[in-house]
Amino acid sequence: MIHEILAEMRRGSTTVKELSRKLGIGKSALEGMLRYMVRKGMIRELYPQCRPKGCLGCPYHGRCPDLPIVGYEPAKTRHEA
Amino acid sequence: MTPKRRIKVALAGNPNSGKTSIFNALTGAHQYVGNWPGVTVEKREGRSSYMGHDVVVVDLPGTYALDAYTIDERVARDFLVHEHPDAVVAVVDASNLERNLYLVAQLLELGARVVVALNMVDVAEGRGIEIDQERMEKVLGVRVVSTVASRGTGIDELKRLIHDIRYDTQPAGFAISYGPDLEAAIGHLVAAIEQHVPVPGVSARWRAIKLLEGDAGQLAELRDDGGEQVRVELERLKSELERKYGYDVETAVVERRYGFLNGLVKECTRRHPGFTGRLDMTEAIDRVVTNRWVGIPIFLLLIWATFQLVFTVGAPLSGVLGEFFHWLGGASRSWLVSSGAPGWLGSLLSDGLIDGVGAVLVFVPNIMILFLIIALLEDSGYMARAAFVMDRFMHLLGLHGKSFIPMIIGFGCNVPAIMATRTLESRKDRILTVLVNPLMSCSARLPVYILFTGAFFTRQRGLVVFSLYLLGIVLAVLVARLFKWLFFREEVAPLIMELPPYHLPTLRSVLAHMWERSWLFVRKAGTVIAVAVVAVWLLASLPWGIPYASAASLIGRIGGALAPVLRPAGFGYWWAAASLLAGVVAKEIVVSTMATIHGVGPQELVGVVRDQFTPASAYAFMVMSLIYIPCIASIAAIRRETNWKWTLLVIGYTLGLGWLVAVLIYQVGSLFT
Repeated sequence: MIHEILAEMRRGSTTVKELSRKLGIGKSALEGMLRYMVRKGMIRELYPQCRPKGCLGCPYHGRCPDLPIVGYEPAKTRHEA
Repeated sequence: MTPKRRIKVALAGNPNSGKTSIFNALTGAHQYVGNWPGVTVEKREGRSSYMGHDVVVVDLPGTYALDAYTIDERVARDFLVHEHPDAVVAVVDASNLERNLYLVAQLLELGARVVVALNMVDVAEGRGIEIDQERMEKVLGVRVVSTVASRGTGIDELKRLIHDIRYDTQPAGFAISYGPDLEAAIGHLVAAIEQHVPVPGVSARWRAIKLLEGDAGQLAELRDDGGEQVRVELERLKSELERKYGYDVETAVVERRYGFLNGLVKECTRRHPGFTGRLDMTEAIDRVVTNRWVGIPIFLLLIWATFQLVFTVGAPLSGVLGEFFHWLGGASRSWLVSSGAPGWLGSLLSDGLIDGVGAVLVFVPNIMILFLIIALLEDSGYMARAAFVMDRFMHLLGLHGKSFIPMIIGFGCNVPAIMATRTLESRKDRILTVLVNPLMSCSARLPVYILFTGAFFTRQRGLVVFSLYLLGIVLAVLVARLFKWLFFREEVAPLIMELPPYHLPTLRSVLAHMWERSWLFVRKAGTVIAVAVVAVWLLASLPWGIPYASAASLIGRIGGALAPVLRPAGFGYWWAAASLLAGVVAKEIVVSTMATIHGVGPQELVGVVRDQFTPASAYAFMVMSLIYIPCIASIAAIRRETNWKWTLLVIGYTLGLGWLVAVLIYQVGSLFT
């Protein structure tokens, strides 16, 4: 199933829900697999916490992490950060 | 009679499964907080008694698995393996079964005496999920109790099961079938472990599985216990399996474990047929708004509708404010004249401060409505969908969809949007997004749009402003594509996005967001804009003795030097050039400078603009205001997030592009008007 997730990812962007429907896996199980894949370095999470410093004075201070998107992308395309 | 005993109970569960509530319900006020030995993870222990037995409850750190990847997992696992609790209460969030049961499966594989507390069953029921508890007990071979810990429901039954399990034997041989190849390997390893490095009280099968998963803790113990033969056997089996599968054994184990849980959940749960709850509603809406074909048109339609509302509802309120500033200017001038104040003071107060600042403040209602709608879209969960549909679009152009989030924030203000690019992991993505962000039309440009659409496009104001926002997005995408090709040529990775369920935004939250952002606008009018207005007034008054705001004034001379460059765009007036120049400080200042130079209030300014511009040159001017040089705060933010090289590139390309597009629009537009 984990390889099917990677294959689906390669086909293009999708949502967790869409993927769950396509692969016939419960959303909760899929989230667990995605977490495992993150841990294994196959994919990485998007929009981690904002850096604690640097946002001082920003009107959105402390709200960046609340951006309603959490996603994943294949880790093998990692480019220099 | 059963002898009185001390029962040690471990509480295990995923984070947010309600473990703490269960712990509190089981132990009441008898709790002790400390640290687990050698780590800074908090250890909570509590005591209670049941039927005369002394019950000690140890709250393990919340974990998703027992894989020892994190400190929390290692602490939880070490306690279970080395402390041998009499019972383990596995707290399971009933509304997220598979994810939570993963830990239960690992606890059972470990050979722990488990009671499953199916917590938050009320939430699961609310989502239309019906759980067959008996079936689950049969498949897992353990007792299951439904609880709603926050209300204390099921706690007595849980206490009874904890008491009972103390005298039970091990769960009757719970084992997930990992398939013939893996099972054969597990069998070989179990035999080797039992022969060479047996550990009493720890399941050999569990150790074999953990070794195949490459568990660092088990490998270390194997090394310490001198299990060389087992290690050699392990390596042989792993390489055989990996050759066969084409991928690592750990992944194979995890896949099969999830496969088992998927089957278990399908077998033990039923979705209520009549359920029409929030999640189903979310799914139904998402099928439309994230649809490949209609997703983007819906997004564009929403932006268009936003501006229709901004003008329809905002215009009358703006009119009232305009009247107020008109009255205030006149009244203050009369009062100063009658009180014998010098003429320049009247000019500064009326032509400068009241007209200049007022010309910006009249747009506060429009801006508040814009922020109100943005807050509604954000809080309802729609913005995440907008990012998703735009992701598809941006991928078609070879760009990263993630970058669209900071771009959406740019509709409010480019400064936080530029700062929000920090959430992008790749430096190249960050730079690229920063470079194009100033093209997203921020709220500070709105006064310019409102002024010019009020003068020339009264019937299609919403549509015209919508076209400017759209132009900004299109240009941002094209420029990003160009920069990507020039500076960052590499593959763009597709995404899996997590879309939160829709929910009705609360009035309090929406109003708070609207107020927070609108107040910034008002504060800016009272500080930066007021200072800029005084500066413009001074430049329009100097050298002393010339007529106020004439071409001979300092500002007239500066504007006059720049005006010829703007002539091909249809607005080669010195005051238009001076306004654009002043607008680099803050975009709102474009309008306030015009008002200050002409010494007129917001309402009369519409007339001035109408006299001097044509529809084509008005549109070209709005486009120039949209694209040309970002404001100083944005430039500082760009500098902070990148370096001077990229900052100068932004200043240069926005100036050139703004001029080019404005000229094109004016020249082409003039052919039809």
